[in-house]
Amino acid sequence: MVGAINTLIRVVDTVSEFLGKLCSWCLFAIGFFITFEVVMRYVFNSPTVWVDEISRVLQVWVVFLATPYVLKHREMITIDVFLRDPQTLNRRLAESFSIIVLFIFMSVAVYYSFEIWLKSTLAGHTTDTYLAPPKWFTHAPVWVGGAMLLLQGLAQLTRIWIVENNSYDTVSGSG
Amino acid sequence: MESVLILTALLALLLLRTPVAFALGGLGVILLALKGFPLVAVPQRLHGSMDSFELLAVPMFLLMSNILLKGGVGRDLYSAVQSWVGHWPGGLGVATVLSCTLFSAISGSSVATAATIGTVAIPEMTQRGYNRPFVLGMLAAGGTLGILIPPSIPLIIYGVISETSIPTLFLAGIGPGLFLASTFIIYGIFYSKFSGGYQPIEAASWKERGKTTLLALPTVLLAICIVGSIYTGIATPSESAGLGFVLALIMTFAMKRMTWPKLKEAVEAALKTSVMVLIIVAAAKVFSYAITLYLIPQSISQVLAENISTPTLFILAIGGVLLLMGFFLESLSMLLIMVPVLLPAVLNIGIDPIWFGIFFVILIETALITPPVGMNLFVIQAVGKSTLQDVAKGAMPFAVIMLLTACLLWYWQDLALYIPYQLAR
Repeated sequence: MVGAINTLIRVVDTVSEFLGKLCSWCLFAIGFFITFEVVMRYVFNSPTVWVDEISRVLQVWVVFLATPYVLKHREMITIDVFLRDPQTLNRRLAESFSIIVLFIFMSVAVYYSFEIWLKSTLAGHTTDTYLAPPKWFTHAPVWVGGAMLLLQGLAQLTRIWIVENNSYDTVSGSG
Repeated sequence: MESVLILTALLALLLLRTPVAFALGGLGVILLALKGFPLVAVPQRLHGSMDSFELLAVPMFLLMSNILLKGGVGRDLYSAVQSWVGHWPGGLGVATVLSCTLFSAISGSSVATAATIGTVAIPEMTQRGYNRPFVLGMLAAGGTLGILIPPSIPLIIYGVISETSIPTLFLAGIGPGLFLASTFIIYGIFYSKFSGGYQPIEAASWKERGKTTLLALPTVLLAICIVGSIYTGIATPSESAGLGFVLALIMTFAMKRMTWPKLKEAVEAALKTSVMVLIIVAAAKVFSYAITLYLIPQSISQVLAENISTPTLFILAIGGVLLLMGFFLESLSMLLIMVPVLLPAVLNIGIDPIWFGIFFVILIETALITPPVGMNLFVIQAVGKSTLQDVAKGAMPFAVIMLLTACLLWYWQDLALYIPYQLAR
């Protein structure tokens, strides 16, 4: 039983890890796209029509697909005032509670996002922008990334109680 | 009453170690469900919040600063500044603050600034006999300049949520940023002079100054290029950040400071920080949508308008609340929770939103160096291998300077507004 759970967790971790690495290079590519746009506009007086839209679409994908990777690395921003010892029962309960909050948030997001996506996909909608990409692609990040985040959350929850001690032991910030 | 309950529930979730993004998103969903508002708005807000070209400035600036960090730019900057001012009384302190100021002009993040300069300056200053808590406090405080001197990630996010011009906010940050840097330097010189105990260093030779300055020159040119491209209208903040990232990459490769493993580390670190910031921005959009439907910003505005008659009292009250929250909340959470709640009241009472953004960021800076939750304290504690008490003790005088600057800013608003409204017009 524990072996099977471990295997499942490993699969989820591997997928999250792969998605995280993929997203980091997407971010890298966006930097070049943006620079290309500036050069085309000011050096060749020939602005592009695709950089703005492609960069935005990629940003949405990057953020939602890479969140499971950040959760796996326990680097979500957390306020670290109480329950600092990862070994205590209270700390494990608090961490389990935070995963339940994640489930409430993300299950709603995934359910309704999938509903919107399905309707647009079946109707063959495209966005009303210049490039008009199909909505099955532009509307998928929230439910695809959200579903993956739910799985990663489940993996973290299992780790707290079954596999090993788990903790969001980093207070990280951006400021 | 409803407002108090909701904000208390949020604070309780955060103190129970629920990641900020989940707390904001989860509470937002519960609030919408409780009053039967359509939940389909949740994915729409999440998607819409990230579908923004302006926000791309955040990952781009983070990519650039991580590449510069791995390229060892912090040491170049510090050596160059030290060669010019290191022999002054308390010269290494002056060099530290100036290096933080220069690095702020390319990083946009206080944590990156504190970590980059701290790695070089802490060993250097403590070896020279400077008082350890003073050194740690100066680094923690110097790092906060990263979010006031443009480019600044919190100012980009403030601009996006308050729908104010990001370039104008950047311009408004210059005056208070340089003012704070100057007061830190003056305090550092006086402290070193009167406390003594440090070993003065000899003035560097002109040859050495030339050599170190030449090494730091590309970084300074990069900073000029970024800020210049925004204000000459060549590029938007996001475009200048993208351009800065590519130039930083070229620069570090040309200086033979970048390797494939370092690049991978830099890109992955930038992704992690970007996502941990942006997912909070997305979740905060759900939360702020819910509290808007509950009319919470309006009811807070009304309570404030009924009970506080003058703008001075209003700012004093807000300052007090933010200061209190800053003891417990991480800086970005403060920004994303409080700006949507307070902004309608701020506009109602006739306060300039650009000025308010700068005021808010100075209070965030103070929050970064006040315990128990102060990101820069944690960073410097780790970099300096010290205790939190030592860092907090050293940072206290700087926190007082910041608070005095916030007060001064109210009475001398041109400190922030002169550059965007008069000089750059």
